[in-house]
Amino acid sequence: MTEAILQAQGLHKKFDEVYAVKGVSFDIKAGEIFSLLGPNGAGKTTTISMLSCLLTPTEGDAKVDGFSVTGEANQVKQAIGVVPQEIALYPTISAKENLQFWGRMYGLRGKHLQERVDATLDIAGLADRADGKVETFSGGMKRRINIAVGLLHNPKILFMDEPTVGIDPQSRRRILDTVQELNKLGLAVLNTTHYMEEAQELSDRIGIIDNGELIATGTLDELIKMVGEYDTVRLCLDVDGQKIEDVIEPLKSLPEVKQVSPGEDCVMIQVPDSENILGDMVGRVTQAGAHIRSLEIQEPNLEAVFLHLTGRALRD
Amino acid sequence: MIARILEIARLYLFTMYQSRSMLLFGFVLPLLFTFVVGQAIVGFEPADGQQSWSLAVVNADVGDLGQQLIERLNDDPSLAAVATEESEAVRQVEREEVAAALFIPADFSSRMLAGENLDLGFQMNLAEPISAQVVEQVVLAALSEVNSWLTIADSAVEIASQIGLFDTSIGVGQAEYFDDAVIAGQEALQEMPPVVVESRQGVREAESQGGIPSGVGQTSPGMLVIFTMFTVLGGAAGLLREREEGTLRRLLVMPMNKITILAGNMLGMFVVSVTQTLILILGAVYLFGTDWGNELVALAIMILVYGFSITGLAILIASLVRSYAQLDALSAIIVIPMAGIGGAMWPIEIVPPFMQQLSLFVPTGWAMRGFHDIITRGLGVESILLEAGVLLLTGAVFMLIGLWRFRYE
Ligand SMILES: Nc1ncnc2c1ncn2[C@@H]1O[C@H](COP(=O)(O)OP(=O)(O)OP(=O)(O)O)[C@@H](O)[C@H]1O
Ligand SMILES: [Mg+2]
Repeated sequence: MTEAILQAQGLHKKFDEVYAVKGVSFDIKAGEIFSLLGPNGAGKTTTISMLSCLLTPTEGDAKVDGFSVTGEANQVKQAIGVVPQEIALYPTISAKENLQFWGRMYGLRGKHLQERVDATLDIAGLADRADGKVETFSGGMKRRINIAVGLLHNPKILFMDEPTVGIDPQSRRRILDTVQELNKLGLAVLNTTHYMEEAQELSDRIGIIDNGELIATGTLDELIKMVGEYDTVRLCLDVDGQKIEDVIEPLKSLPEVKQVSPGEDCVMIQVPDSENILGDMVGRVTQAGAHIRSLEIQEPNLEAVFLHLTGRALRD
Repeated sequence: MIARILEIARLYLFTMYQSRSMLLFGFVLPLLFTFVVGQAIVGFEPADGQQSWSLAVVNADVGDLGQQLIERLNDDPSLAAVATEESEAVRQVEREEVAAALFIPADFSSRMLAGENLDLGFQMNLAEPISAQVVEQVVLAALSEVNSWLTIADSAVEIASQIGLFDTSIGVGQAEYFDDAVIAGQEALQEMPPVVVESRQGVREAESQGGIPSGVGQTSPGMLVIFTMFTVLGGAAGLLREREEGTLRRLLVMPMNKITILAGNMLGMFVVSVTQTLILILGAVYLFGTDWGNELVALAIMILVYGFSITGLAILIASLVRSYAQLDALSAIIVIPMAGIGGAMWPIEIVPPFMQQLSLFVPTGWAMRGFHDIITRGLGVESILLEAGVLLLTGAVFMLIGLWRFRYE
């Protein structure tokens, strides 16, 4: 068993009487990719901010590389690379000048700085655009430089707060590949996301966070076991004059159905073996006078886990 | 820590000078305003300059004294008194071609000689009240000089009659004697001019010694005080923008003290303000021939302390406002009144006394005071120590409050 590079113990953060994070504890082992998966406002950024010494926990503490985030901030900051949710770069100077500036802020100088700037430009795949001003870059390129800055000082663990939000699929693919390559070289990663596919594909272990609480932690397999052998059926209706509520009771009355969760114009139904019951479900819905727009069967996945644990869909 | 402060300051300078608006708002506009506004308030250019005021004189005097008064007025190198018709003089004032018009009545000589009170008509050009006031003072000084000749002659006649000069039949007429005495008095005053110097001094005082600065001598320090403040406040706004765009947050996750970030930015603001001041001064000197005096040490001190004080002010304001947009919108509302109160827009000497008192409460007031000690009053280091001390102290207090209250998140 490898040693933990990060241990969060009962982290709480209160903003004016309201807890944004309440009692988050988890470990990240050296060389591991850990994802915090949760919807908007779940407390992901707040958690990462406490772990990167930007916010002081109202309660609890965390150790990074053996140093306390509350008492040994400078050592913690030296051990972590932080990739913020927003593009935190100077737009009017070049990619290279940005990296040089941020490198100097990490205390890098001279030849070593030059080497690290070149290395991180390579990782970002932007060596040929090094002298271009950041403001002329595409969203994906900016994200890559944003990540490169977090890697300048060879951190032991990289914190990434929603690194793939709002970019095209190719750039996203590239970033995920890069993170995996770096991870193979031994870098531990704490990633936050609200894309279950990303958490699923990237992570060694996943923590599901909702309303400031970590409601489940484990590998993908461990988490999926929590929902047992259930499939999720996603059934969407034509809404014209039709109320979702009208179909919930008929569906619930089917003996095999474990859970029905209503959304805007779709319902998520959890059943052990969807194929045998599909006909009955369609029958009940049609009897209730509703028109089915689409019907989709999902294998057990994180979406289902989230649904199972919270009764709500991850994406609303 | 020092290395990081310097690096942050370097980035600040780099991004600042990179923007084209800095060239426009930092250098071109202030120099343009220095020149244009300088032309507009050129009325109170000192007497030894090339500029002069013009005065239309309507001389209806049947005696000689009116003409002599005009000659007296023209002795002042800063004034051009031109005799004209009454209607023409009125027209010239209305068209703002002259600073004022003077109307000498027909009984001017007789009343002066009789020692009676008399009213001279004086019509000011209201568009240039300062110029008109100064011209009025020159006229009064010339009048008092003419009056002195008469007083001298009167005394001479008095003495002569006491010693019985007119009683005998030597043939000396009292009137002729008086005329000779006037001429003698006139010459005496011109050759050994204690009285003249005193009265003329009064006028000089108003122009340069006591200090109504004018022309580019006013606008050069005035505009640099205004525009460096804009630049430095712009820098503080940039710091708030960094907070909103996340680069400040990123700086905070780097292994260093928070103060380093503000210190680097303040150093940047300070250097920008000092270089801007220097360039604006050199620009005014070489482009418009502005006289910035000869007191280089005093000037250097003033430039440094003013830069320091507005840097402190900027960081204080940045710590009080909520957002970049707010500071951006507020900066004109902060700078313009402060400039007006401090005497950077127009000479502080022309505002009522209570407004002059008010200038003691703004850094711009102390800065203008110090710059005018050097430019207008030609004074040296000792004379600006108070101004420098006040600016240094307020700057330090602003800075401490700003550092203490600044919200990094
Ligand atoms: N500085 C703050 N002051 C008050 N409330 C805050 C502050 N920062 C965050 N919150 C609140 O705390 C909760 C958690 O916010 P947080 O930013 O950590 O969520 P998140 O999981 O990162 O969401 P997102 O996916 O939108 O980034 C939210 O309800 C948010 O409104
Ligand atoms: Mg967030």
